[in-house]
Amino acid sequence: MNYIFDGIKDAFELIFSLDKELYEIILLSLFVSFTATFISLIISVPTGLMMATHEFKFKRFTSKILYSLMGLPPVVLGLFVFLILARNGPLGTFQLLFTPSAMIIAQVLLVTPIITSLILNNCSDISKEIISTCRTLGANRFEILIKLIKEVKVYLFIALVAGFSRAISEVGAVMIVGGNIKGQTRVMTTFIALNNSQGNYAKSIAMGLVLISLSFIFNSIAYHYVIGDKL
Amino acid sequence: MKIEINKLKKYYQNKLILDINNVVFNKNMTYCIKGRNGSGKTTLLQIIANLMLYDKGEILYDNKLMHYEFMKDITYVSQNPYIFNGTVYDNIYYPLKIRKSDASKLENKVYAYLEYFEIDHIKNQLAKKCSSGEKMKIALARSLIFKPKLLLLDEPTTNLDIESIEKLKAILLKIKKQTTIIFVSHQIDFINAISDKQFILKDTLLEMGEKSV
Repeated sequence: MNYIFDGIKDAFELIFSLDKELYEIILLSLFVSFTATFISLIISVPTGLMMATHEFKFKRFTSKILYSLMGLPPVVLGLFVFLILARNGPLGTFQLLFTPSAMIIAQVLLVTPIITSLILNNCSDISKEIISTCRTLGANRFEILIKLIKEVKVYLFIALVAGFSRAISEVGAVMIVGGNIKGQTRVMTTFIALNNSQGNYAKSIAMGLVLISLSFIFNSIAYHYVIGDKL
Repeated sequence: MKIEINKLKKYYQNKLILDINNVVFNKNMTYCIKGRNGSGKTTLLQIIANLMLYDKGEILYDNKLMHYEFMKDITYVSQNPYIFNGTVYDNIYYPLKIRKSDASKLENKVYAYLEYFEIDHIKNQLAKKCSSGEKMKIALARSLIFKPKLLLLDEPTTNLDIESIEKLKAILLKIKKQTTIIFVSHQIDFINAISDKQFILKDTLLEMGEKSV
């Protein structure tokens, strides 16, 4: 048991000692996950809202595919991205493998179905009501779009937080496509996995605490928004 | 606004649910559509409001086919109206805001409607927290404030208390000279008080017959 308490004590010392490597890893993790979530949002918000508000052929089939992709194993996705970006792969000429760009690509592919599905699921019924109400009050298409985004902003935010949480806590895919290279592609999750396997529990616990804290902060912001608008 | 429905057919899952040969709703007249639950009254109102597509036939608005610009003059209040996020005031202000009305006159107009519907005391309250009756009043005020040429009401007395129904009656009687009103209701007193003509949507869902008051 002592190694756990010693690990926690050492972890706090490590966090407050402003260890350069630790903070570089945190910053790289945040950069990769924020960028991936941002790109996913650009894809997911219009796609999710369009799917939620329009009826089209194969909508049910498309939705099923999307929901299935939510549960895609990250390691399989990582392998897929690896094969695509490998030197002999279709996008091998761009030499993206084992770079932060590859990790961003993997996270985008992982997070986009999650954000899109959440928007689709949460906004389907309410969006139709909002659009009908706006139309009967004389709003034009642009005004309807603005109102729609304002009305469903809580759901968009929940989807954003869920996507970001998924991205930042991801380990399998980023390990495969990033390679966990020190100072290059090492992020919080791969750092924890590596140090744990080497028996450096203090470092693993320190990074684990940072990850939990970040997750708590982002979820608190989401909670604040939901409470503010809903209760 | 005059509404003319010609040979309109609406199917749902290959079943004919509306079959209206020819009906004219004259300008500035008030019509009630009666019928059993599930007879298609709401569907008809939503089709006229251009919120639902129909399969065959045509609807003419002042002798013209639906044009996007007409939507500025048509409003529909559903049985369970959607209320926007924000305050009661924000909800009622919204149609005026998108019409870019004269800003100086807006506030007084909104306050007049808030006062009339007796919801001025909750003007700064979050509208979604209001009771069902208050939400109906908000929706009615929001739809009446921009003086539509065609007003479609789906059971507007739902959730309203007797006093509020009287208020609604009074305002509809006041505006009916400048507005075509088509409404669905099951309240006999309310129907008789404001309608000029009544139609019955029979439960065969096929035809619409006129019936005098």
